[in-house]
Amino acid sequence: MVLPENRAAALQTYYDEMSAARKRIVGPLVIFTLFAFFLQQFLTNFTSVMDGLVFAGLTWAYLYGFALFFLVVALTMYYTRAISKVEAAHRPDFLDANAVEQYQEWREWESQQAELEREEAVRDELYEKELADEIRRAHGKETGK
Amino acid sequence: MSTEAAVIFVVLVAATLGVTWWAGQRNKSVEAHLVAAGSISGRANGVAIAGDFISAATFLGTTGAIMLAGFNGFYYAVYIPVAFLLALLVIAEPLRNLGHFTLGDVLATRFRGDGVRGAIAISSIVVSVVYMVAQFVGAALLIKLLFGISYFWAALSIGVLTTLYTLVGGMLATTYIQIIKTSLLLVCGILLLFFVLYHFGWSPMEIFRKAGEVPLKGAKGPIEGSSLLQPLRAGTAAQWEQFSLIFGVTLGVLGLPHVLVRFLTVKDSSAARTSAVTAIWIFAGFLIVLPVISYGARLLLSKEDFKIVADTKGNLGMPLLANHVGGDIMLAFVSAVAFATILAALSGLVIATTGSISHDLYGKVLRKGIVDHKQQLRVARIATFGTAIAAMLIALPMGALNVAFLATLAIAIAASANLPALLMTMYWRKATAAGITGGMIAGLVTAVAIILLSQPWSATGGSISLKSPGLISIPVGFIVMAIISLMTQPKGEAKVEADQLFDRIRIQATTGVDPGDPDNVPPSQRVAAH
Repeated sequence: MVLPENRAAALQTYYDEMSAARKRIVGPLVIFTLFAFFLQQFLTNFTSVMDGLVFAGLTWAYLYGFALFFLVVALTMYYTRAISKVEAAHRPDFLDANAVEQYQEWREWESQQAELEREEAVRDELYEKELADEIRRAHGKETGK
Repeated sequence: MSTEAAVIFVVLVAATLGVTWWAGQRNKSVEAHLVAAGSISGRANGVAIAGDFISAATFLGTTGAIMLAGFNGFYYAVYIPVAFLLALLVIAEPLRNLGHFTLGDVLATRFRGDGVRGAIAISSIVVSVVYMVAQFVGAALLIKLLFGISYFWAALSIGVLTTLYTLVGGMLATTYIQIIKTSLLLVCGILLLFFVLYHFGWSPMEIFRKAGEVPLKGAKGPIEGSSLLQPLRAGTAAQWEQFSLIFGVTLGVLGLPHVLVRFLTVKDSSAARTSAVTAIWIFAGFLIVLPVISYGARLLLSKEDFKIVADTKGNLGMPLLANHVGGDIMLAFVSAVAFATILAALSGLVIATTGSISHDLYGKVLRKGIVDHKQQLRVARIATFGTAIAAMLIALPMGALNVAFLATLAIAIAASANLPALLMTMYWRKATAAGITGGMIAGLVTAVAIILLSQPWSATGGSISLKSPGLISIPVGFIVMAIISLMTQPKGEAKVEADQLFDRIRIQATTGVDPGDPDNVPPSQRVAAH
């Protein structure tokens, strides 16, 4: 458990580790994904090198297209595992504990608000009723009914 | 409508109304109405995100495009998982850590004042409304075709149901309806794949081999020596048009408000990551089989049926295949799923627009944040009602117009204005408020100008041939943002302050916690951490 006085330092360490991991992993993955995808677009759209058959029923264009699906899934798995590992190793426990505690406080605040709104609605209704009664009485006096 | 279709249709609408009633009991706060109070699990949200993108346009449009144009139709399937991988890598987690209700919240963590928030709110509203009108008109035409009712009644029924779902059930109902629809759509895809493979000896390669014997159809009839398995290159202008379209829609995904807001419905960045991963798995599994189903349909349908498919620009390919392989019940099921798809997509768009109107424009820009809980919810509900009704009223007289360019325009604006603003705010130290606002305006204006000059709705074409502006408008958005930012760099103390703020939001974007107050969890995560 991180002591309150050490929390800022723990957060900084967590940020440094996550930031370094993201820089190391995300940059190359983005460049590789963009390159692989737009190369397919370029080769199929502007050249005929992908028109031929790999074997009966499958062109190079389709083979590349299907390969992109597998590539995306593989890169997704690689990224998720790598970043989750860093997160698990360095995420300070007080972050989640605070979130739960403050959620309870928020729920209490929200139910108080709802109670206040209900009371206000009842008050408004009473006031409107009284006002209507008063108007009716005044009208009665004027018309003598 | 057949009896089977009527029964399936009524059961589906009843189920979605049941979900709406259930969600309505929980839809009591502005957090619940706009972002389901962050209560959606990562996996469930991933299914909903997948549902947002496997829309009627994908299920009916892409399969139809592959049937008619062969490999070129497959372009509309390949870009989706790639775009979501990019979203996972650069947008999803920082967006969850910085945002609360809208994209405006993300920009406001760094740039105080109304200008930047107002600009992205307006851009998001324009994107969502334009996209919604395009979806609305397309959806009503589709319902007209599927159920044989008039355009007016089709648009009216879609409008009334969308209003009901979003007004009563808010984001919670919208998300669960999207999840139901995605599950049904996946079942539908599996059934169609199963039926098609059955007709070809359970061999996808047999389908591809036979499709390879069908020539591509050019403007002057079948092209000799070509096949459905090969890319069609119809001249330099058409090739650049195709490239620009795919470039724009791929990056556009990263700026579409109704997709990005979904990342705010989960409790933290780890759940946002799970959402993106789940969506990518569904995309990969579903979209990779579309060529098999589409070519199977092309080979199985009669000449008369194929003529109907061609006349409806491919939209009726899947319903006719369903009828051919599974009879009336399968046709009814596919039609009902297509209807649910349309309603779910429209509901998501309505909620995204509602957030920008009620939270950004009314709550923050107009009332400067001085707005109580009850008022916020009331305004959010009025905005929901107004948005859904406005989209329906705009769409009602547009049935006879070709509005396909509206969807391209919406995605192009998202990619040219929202995406540069989000990326520069989250990652570039030198970005300034003036730069972000200027770049957004430049991206938006360029995209609109190119669409207007190319006049895609006119039969004679416009003064320029590029109908998809992405290839030009996206770089314009980024470049103008960079130039104005460099010209308006703060100096002295203001620079130190700007640098400190950037360092602070980098930490919050990465960890989810404001380093100035590490014990205080941001409202977005506090609300959701249960």
